Formats: sequence, structure tokens, C-alpha cells
Amino acid sequence: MGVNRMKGRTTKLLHKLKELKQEAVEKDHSASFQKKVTENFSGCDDLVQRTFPELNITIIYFLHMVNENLLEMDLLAPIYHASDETSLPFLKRSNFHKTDDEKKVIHGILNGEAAVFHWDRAYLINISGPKHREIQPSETETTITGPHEGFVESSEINLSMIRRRVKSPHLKMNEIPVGEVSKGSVFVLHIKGIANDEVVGDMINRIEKIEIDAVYDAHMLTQLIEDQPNALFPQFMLRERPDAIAAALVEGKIVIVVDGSPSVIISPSSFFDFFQTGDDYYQRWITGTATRLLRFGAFIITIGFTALYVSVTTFQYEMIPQSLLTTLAGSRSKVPFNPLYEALIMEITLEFLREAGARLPTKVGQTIGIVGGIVIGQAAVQAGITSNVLIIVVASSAITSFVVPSYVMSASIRLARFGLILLAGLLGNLGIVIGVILLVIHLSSLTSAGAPYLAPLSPFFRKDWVDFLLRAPYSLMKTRPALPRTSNKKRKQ
Amino acid sequence: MDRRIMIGGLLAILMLAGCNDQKVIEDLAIISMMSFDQTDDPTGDLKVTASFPNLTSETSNEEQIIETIANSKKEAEDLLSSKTKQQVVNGQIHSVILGERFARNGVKSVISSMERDQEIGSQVKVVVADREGTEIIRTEVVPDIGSYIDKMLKTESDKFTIPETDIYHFSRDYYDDGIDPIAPLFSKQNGRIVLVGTALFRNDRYVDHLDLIQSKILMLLLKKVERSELTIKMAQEEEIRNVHFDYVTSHRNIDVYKKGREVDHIKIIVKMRGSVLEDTGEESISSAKEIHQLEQLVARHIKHKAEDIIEILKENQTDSLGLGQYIRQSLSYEEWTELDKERLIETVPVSVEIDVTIKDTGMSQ
Amino acid sequence: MSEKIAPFHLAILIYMIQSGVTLYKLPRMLAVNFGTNGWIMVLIVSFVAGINIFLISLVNRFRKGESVFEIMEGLIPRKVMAPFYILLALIWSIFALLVGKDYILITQVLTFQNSSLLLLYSIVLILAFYLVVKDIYTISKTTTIFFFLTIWMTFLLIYHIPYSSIMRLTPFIFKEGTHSIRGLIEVYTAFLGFEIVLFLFPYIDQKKPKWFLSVYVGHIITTVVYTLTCIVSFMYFSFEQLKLISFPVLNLISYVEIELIERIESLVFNLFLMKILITVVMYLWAAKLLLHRGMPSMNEKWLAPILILVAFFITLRVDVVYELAPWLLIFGFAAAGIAIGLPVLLLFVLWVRRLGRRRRHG
Repeated sequence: MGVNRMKGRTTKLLHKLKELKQEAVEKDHSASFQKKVTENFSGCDDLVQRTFPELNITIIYFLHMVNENLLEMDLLAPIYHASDETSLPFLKRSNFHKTDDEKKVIHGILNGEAAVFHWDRAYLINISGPKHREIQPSETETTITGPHEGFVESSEINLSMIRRRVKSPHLKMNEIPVGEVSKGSVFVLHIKGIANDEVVGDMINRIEKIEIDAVYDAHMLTQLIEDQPNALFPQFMLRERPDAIAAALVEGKIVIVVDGSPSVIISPSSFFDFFQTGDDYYQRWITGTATRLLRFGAFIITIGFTALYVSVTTFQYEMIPQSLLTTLAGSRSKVPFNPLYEALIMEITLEFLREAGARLPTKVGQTIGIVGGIVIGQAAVQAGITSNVLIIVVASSAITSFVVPSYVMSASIRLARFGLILLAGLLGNLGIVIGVILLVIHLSSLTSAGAPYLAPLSPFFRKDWVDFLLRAPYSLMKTRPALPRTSNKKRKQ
Repeated sequence: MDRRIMIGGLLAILMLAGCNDQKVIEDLAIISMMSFDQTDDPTGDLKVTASFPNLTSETSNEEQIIETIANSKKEAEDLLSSKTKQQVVNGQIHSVILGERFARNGVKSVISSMERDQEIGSQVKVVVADREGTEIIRTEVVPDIGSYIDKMLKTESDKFTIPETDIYHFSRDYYDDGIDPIAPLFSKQNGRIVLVGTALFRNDRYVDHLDLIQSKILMLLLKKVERSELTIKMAQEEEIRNVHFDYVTSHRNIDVYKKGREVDHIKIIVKMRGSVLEDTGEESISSAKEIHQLEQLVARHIKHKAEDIIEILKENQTDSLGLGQYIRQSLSYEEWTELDKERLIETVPVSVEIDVTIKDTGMSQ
Repeated sequence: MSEKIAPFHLAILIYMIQSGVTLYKLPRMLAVNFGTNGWIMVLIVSFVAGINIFLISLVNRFRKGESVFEIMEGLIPRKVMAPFYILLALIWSIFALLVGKDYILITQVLTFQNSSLLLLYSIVLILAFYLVVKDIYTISKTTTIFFFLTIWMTFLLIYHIPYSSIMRLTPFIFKEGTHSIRGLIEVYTAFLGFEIVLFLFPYIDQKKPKWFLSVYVGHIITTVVYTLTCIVSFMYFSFEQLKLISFPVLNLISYVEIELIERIESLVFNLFLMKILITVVMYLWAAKLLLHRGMPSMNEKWLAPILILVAFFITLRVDVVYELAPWLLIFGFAAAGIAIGLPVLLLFVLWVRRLGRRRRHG
């Protein structure tokens, strides 16, 4: 009888021993798991490691990546309220994710989550809330009518702004890490059923193929995924306003959000997309059309006016109307340079002013702008360095260049303008025509995500003309544009 | 990529091709007016005077005038360029003055030389001077003679007083065997430049001219007039009655009447409509009957004048009205080639019919 | 991009290839060769060219999806055809370069009297090279843009209507002209360009069964532009005057004066370079195809440069007006012969092959 009891007690003892051994092993294991994770972060003084020995819990997080309120409420409060180490009910809550994967834990901590180590298990809770800029109107893209919200650097907020405007389950989002060192997140959005799946796949492919240390901004990403990175003109449009992005998505375009950048990429884009603003759509169609035509007129002036001046004063004097002849020749007679040099000097000076103005703090910048514009121009004429007609010409070019809404595009246009001026100075009108021919050939051969860059003009998509030079009334806009190659052509589905 | 660089490099080098042809504007003597006169100088028989505005501030004159003697227009241009520091260019010539003596001997050489020159535009007006062209250019009263004459021509031809003649018109009518060219006629009186009428050409020779009033009537006979005015002087008893007729529109029709294979006679019908703005006569002109009377008086007056003009044309064997074209229109090719076109105007009878309608009589009855 | 040319673009392409410098000389050519009311000849010749196009449409109908090369090689093996291809490529390349030279000569007369013809000409050749090495879809896109940039020039004719008069047409038809064969050829070459369609067959979007009509459309546009220009020329200038003006259309443009804008003929004529470029490029492109087929061993990258350089050196000495004219005449004649002969030959080959098939199938 004593033997049985002995056996029973031994069994119990053995069990207990096993348990203890297991606990010890587990403790060891958990301690080593924890160690493995924390080893990665050695030297990171901003990593907080707090141990609650009575509960056998260690929490690890980056102090500046977490939201203090969430930290208090979701993590620390339950910990304080927990009675003993055996029952930690809060660990079973939905916001705690259990994981064994070391990489995942590291990734989570880097993303602002807190890791909770309990014995051998690790749990991640998302309490991230790094400081970021509040939603403000975009500085580079303003509208008079229309919403003023602009994207900020936090991709979470940006994505929320987009989702709010396109409340559809068909709005799909793929997250892709980009950057070997920085491991930034890039999100590719499209509306399934409208966007062309092949194009989506292609875009995702391009992004996945990127090999680079870090990507800091969407503009940088664009250059890495463009069809023709060596071209003169940008192939993907970047916008900072959620309403524009929502509109692009609905048309079947793909949109790329880069974490850390307030600009969002739209692919594909045509050359003419860069000349559109939100205001065009929010105003009445007649005014919208007039404004658009004005913008195209501005484009022609900014690219060609100075070149025309140079050509006429160097080669084609017979084109000058008689009334202007005396003023023009008179003012030019004081200038010691060739019209070509004169024009180049003025244009380069203007570029200097522009760059300088962009670097200076606003208060000083404004003064320089006025000083540069008025005083220097006037003084230059009187000193005999330029003619006053040229000042008008260069000033018109500069003003009209700001009419182009996209900064990247207007930079490209500026380069083209210099080219045309040079050609005009060398070969007159023939030079200008040669320059135009080169530009047209270059533009025609560009593609944006495989779609022709000059649509709807060059491959002639008749139905797209309602939203091209003109902005037709909404009742006429029945089909989606051809550029994104959607199969879902009719709007309203 | 390399291809593109190669192309770019080549293009850059080739762009320098045009450097020889630069015509930088302040280095140019941009001629605005040129005149051609006959001379008896041993070195040449053509005196060419050119004026160009002074675009630099070195001399105080508003314009410079240079002159040379040569045997042809282009030779003259070569000689002219040695008289100024700038490069002489023709691209902005606005008018060309033909001296009377020179015009009488035939202007074809100068006109065709101008046509061959690609720099010279085509809206270069052709004008005849009643003595020497060089006198007209050297008028001191006017600072910029080129644009002065230009504007005067424009104003007067807008009023259909004189024809609008440029090189293209002149050449076109010269080569057309159915019409002869005409040009405005200027004179210098008391140091001022005055428009005195229309010069008539037979082929390319200047033969006769019409005064201003005759000029206006010639315009009526020549084309559709859109606005003009005429003062009709009619002798009534011992006084002269002036009626100022401001005609808004007029058009003309030319009918060619044939007899068999030959042209029998030509009738020119002109229908005019206008207002009477001045009437120094005693009669009233308020009732319909009175107005009709006036219409008939005016019509008869104009008809006489027109017939006088046609006489002048016939005497000089010049077809300024383009009657030849209408005749050509009604004949077959063989019939046309058989005609003696030189004497055509002289021989074919021409009659004129004028129809006047008075729209209103102004602000008073 | 490997997309296909849509019919709309095909029409524009045909018009742009056909439209060339000949337009500037055409009214005078007609006046000298055919006499009074010579513009009527434009319509007649256009009709003849239309028949030529019809022959090509027949080739299209009977080819059963084959390209021109496949048709020929169905009967005659490639190696035998090769010299023929190379010869054709050469003729067309020289013709293209002569057309380019013609244009530059006129530009010289107009603005660059003191510059070297060779240098200016080389610039045009480089531009042509830049375009011809791109694929045909890009070329057709470029052509469409060029079209929009140049078509407005036709409307300048409106300015001349007040100064035109039917009287100047004279009631005589075709009097006082030389009525030479040479004249006919010269006018026919003004319409050449449609024969390139033969080589475009594989690259056209043939979804719509009536796509060939766009070739006719392009031809009609060309005819309309030519006819209007010539009629206005005959009404604006007097007959004898017209015979003396080398480039009547140039004069027409220079007479346009609207408010501040005058003497725009240099700008307009320079824009015409776009049309010339397309003519040159398309003939070179077809020549490139021919050369590739005739010498398949050669690296594709070298095809265009070789053609251009060879033709360049052959025509090197021809650089004054009176030398260029006979060369253009000869090669124009050759190109016209090819335009007529090639479809006839192809139809013949197709017929022979069909006979052969029928015989084989009993």
C-alpha cells in the first residue's frame, strides 16, 4: 500500500520536476529570445526596456515612436492592474499579436510598436504615434475653389485621406518595402475592376526591383521606376492633394504613396495631365475651358517667346512690324552683345534670382524678388546691358512659366526654352523649327507606364478630347480616358 | 544612349552653319523708301536715292538719305552700301518712287529686279513722282518720309481716291494682256508732299495722269467702291452749284456686246448709292421728285466726266480699266489671239451708264 | 511600343508623305506645262493617282495577310530577290535625300544665302536619322503632331480671296502650255508617297475592315490642298506673271499681312520642314526594310546610317538649282515607275501563285 502512495507521490514529483524544468527551459528560452531581439538594438539609447519582474514581463519600445496616450492606456494600465503573473488577460486582447518570429518583432519595434516578452512568448501591440505634421494646405499646390487638405509625410494619414474619399472595397492596396537600409514602406493603390491589372502588376514589379539604400521622397521613387529616366520630361505626375488622387484612382490610374513624402505618384500620366489643376474641374465648364486654353497659351509663350525675339533680331528683321522697328533697333543699338548672348544673360540672371529666392527665408525672399525684378531690370536697360524690349520678353516668359501647375514640368520646360533660344540664335526661324521638331520627336517617343505620352493628341483618342484642351460639361464626360487602358470604359460603374 | 550623344554633338557643330547669314538688327541700314530717277550722268542713267531711319543715336537726324548713280538697281545697292557704316538691307522697304522721266522710259527693269529679290516684301507700294523722285524723299518737313507716304497712301486708298498699288499689283497687271497698271501720283508743292492723282501706264511706260477728281471716277469705273466722296460742281445759270455726294457703295458691271466674231461695243454700268451732305444750290431737296431730279443731275455729270476719262485712256492706248479682260472673257482663244491688243482700247466703242441713288440728305431737309 | 497604326493616323501619314516642296512650285509648273487654267490638271492627275491607289488596294485584298516580302518570296526565293530589294532601297534613299536637298536649296534662297548648303542639309539628315531609327508607331505619332502644327497654313489662303479674280483665269483651257511628258511626271511626283502603304501592311491596325479607305482620305486631303492652292494662285496672279515666279506659293504667303504680323513666310516655310521630314523619313524607313530583307546578315543598327551615307555621297555633287532639277526629274520618274509598277508586279505574282495553287489542288 505504501508503494502505491510512493508511486503516486513520485509521479507527482516527477511532473512537478518536469514542469519546473520546462519553466526553467522556457525561462531560459524566453530570456534568450528576448536577448536575441535586444542584441540587435544595442547602442540604441532611445530604446526603452522595462521589466516587471513580478509579472515576468518585459516591455521594449522606442520612446519617440510611440504615442504616449496609447502607451498609458493600452499597455501600462493593464499591466498595473494585473494581479499576478499567471493570469494576464490583457495579453489575450485583440490588439496584442503573438509572434515567434524575431524579424517580425524587430520590424514591429522599428515601426513604433511595443514588444511584450512573457516567458517564451512575445507579443506586439501597436501603439505607434510618432509626431508628424498636421494636415495643412499644400504649399506647392493650391486651389482657389476645392478642398485645401494636402498630404503630409505620414503614410497612415495620407492613406486615411484617400480611403475617406474612395469608400470602396475595390480600392486595393499593396504594401512594398523599399530601401535596403531604410526599409521604408511604399503603398500601391488601385481600384480593382477599373484599373488594368497588367499595368498594376508591372508597377509593383518595378518597385520590387528597386535596389537602393533608401528612398526619401516620392519624387525620388519616380525616377527609379520611370519608363525613360533619361528623358527631358517627367513621366509620372505627382500631386499633393487627396481629391486629385481620388480622381486619378477613379479614372483607372494607379497611385503610389511613399511613407515620408507628402507627394503621391500617379501612373500613368500624359504630358497634358501636367497642365491640369483641380480648379479646372470645380469651376464652371466655360471658365474651366477658358483657363485651360489660357494655360496652353502660356506654355507656348514661355517656351517660345524669347527664342522668337532672338530669331527676329538676329536673322529675320523683316518680320518686325514697322511701328516697333525704331524702338527695338534703338534700344538694341546700345547693347554691346549679340541678341543671343543678351537673351541668355537675362534668362540666366532670372534663373539665379529664382533659385536664390527659393532658398531665402520668406521675408528676405520677397524683397529680393522685388529688387531683382524691378530695379535690376531697369538698371540693366539703362546701363546698356539689355534692351527694354528684351526685359518685357523675358519677364513674360517667366510669368507664363509659373502658370504651369507642375513644378517638375516647368523645370523641364525651362530647359527646353534654353535649347530653343540657342537654336534661334544660331539658325533663326529654322533653328526654332528644328528645336520644335526635336521636342516633338522626343515627346512622341515617351511612354508613361507603357501608355503613349502625348495622348489624346497623338494617338488620337477622340473621346478624350472632352477633357483635354477644353473642359466639357460633366454631362459629356461619359467614358473613362484611354490612357490607363482600362477595360471598364463607361463611367458610373 | 551613345547614339543620342553622337547625334547631339553633330547637331551642335552643324548649328554653326548659319553664322554667316546673321543680320543683327542694329547693324542694319533698314531702307524704308527708294526712288529711281533718270539722269544724264556719264557714269550711269539711273539715280537711286534711299532713305532709312536713323536708329542709333549718333547723329541727330531722324533719318539718313543716301544717293548714288548706277546702271541698274542692284548695282546701285552695291554702291549705296559703301556710303553708310551699316549693312544696307531691303527687307523693310515700304514704297518705291518712280521719277517721271524714268517712268516714261519703262520701269520694267526695276520692278522685275525687285521681284527677283527675295528680301523685298511684296507689299511695297509703287508710286510715281511728277518730277523727280529724289525731291520727294528729301522733304525736310517730314521726319520719317517712308512711313509718311505709307500712311498717306493707306488713307487715300481706303477712301478709294487712288488705287492701292504695290509691286505685286503692278507686275500682275503689267503681265496680264487684258489690263494695264496704274499707280498713285505725288508731287512736291511748297515743300510739302501732295497727292495729285493717278498715273496711267501703258505696259510699263508712264503715259498720262488723271487729277484727283478724275481719279475717283476712275475708281468707280474700275472696281467696287466701298466708301468715297465727291464734290460735283455744276454750272447753273451763272452760279456754280456744289453738291457734295458721299457715296457709301457702288458697283459696276461691264457688258461686252458682240457682233458675230467681233466685239461690237462695251457698256460700263455703275450703280452708286450715297448721301448728299452739302448742296449750295437754292432748290430744296426734300421731296422724292426733287431728289430724283438731283440724282439725274449728278448722274449726268459723272457720266460726262467718265466719258472724258475714257477718251484719255483711248488717246494713250492704255487699258487701265481692264476692259481687255472682259473682252477676253467673251471670246474664244483663237479670236483673242487674232486681236490687235495694243489698239483694242482705241478702237472699241465704250459707253458709260451711271445710276445714282440718294439714300438720304443728311440732318436737314 | 509595338502597337499598331490606327486608320486616322494612316490618313494623316499618307497626306504628310505626299505633301512636299513641290507644292511651292506647283502653280508655276502647271502654268508653264499646261497653260491657262492649268490647275485642272491637278484633279486629273490626282484621279490617275487614285487609280494607282486602287491597284494597291487590290494587292491588299488578295494578299491574305501576307506582307509584301512574303508575297514576292512566295514565288521567287529571297536570295534572288535580294539585289532587287537593294536596288529599290537605293533608289528610294536617293529620292528621299534629293527631296530634302530641294527643300534646303529653297531655304538657302530665302534666308541663308551665304551659308553652306552641305551643313544645312546635314542638319536635316540628322533629324531624319533621329526619327527613322524609331519604330513606326512612334513615327506615326510624331507625324500626327506635325500635321496639327502645319495644317493651319492652308487657311492662310482665305486672305487672298479678296484679291483674286476669276477674270485672271481666262476662259481658255490649257492654252499656251508646253504639254510635255516631263510636265506630267512632275505633277505626278507631287502625289507620290502612297506606295509606302505597301510596306505598312503589317503595322496597321486592321480591326475595321474598311481601314484602307483612310489611304484614299489622305490622298483626298492632299488633292484638296493642292487644288485650292493652285486655283487661288491662278486667280491671284495673272497668267504670264505666274510663269515667271519661281515659287508662287512662297509669294502668296509673304503677301499675308494681318495687323502686327507680316512677312511670316520664313516661319511658315520653315514649318514646312516637318512635312518634308516625314517624306524623307518614310522613304528611308521603307528603304531600311528593303535593305534588311535583302541583306539580313547586316546588323540592324547600321542599316539607316549606311543608306543615308551612301545616298549622301552619291548626291554630294548636286548642289545647285539647275543640277538638282534633272536629278529630281529622273528619280521622280523612277519613283513614279515604282509606284505604278510595284502593285502591278505584286498583283501579277499573286495571280501566278493562285494559278499554281489551283493547279496543285487539281
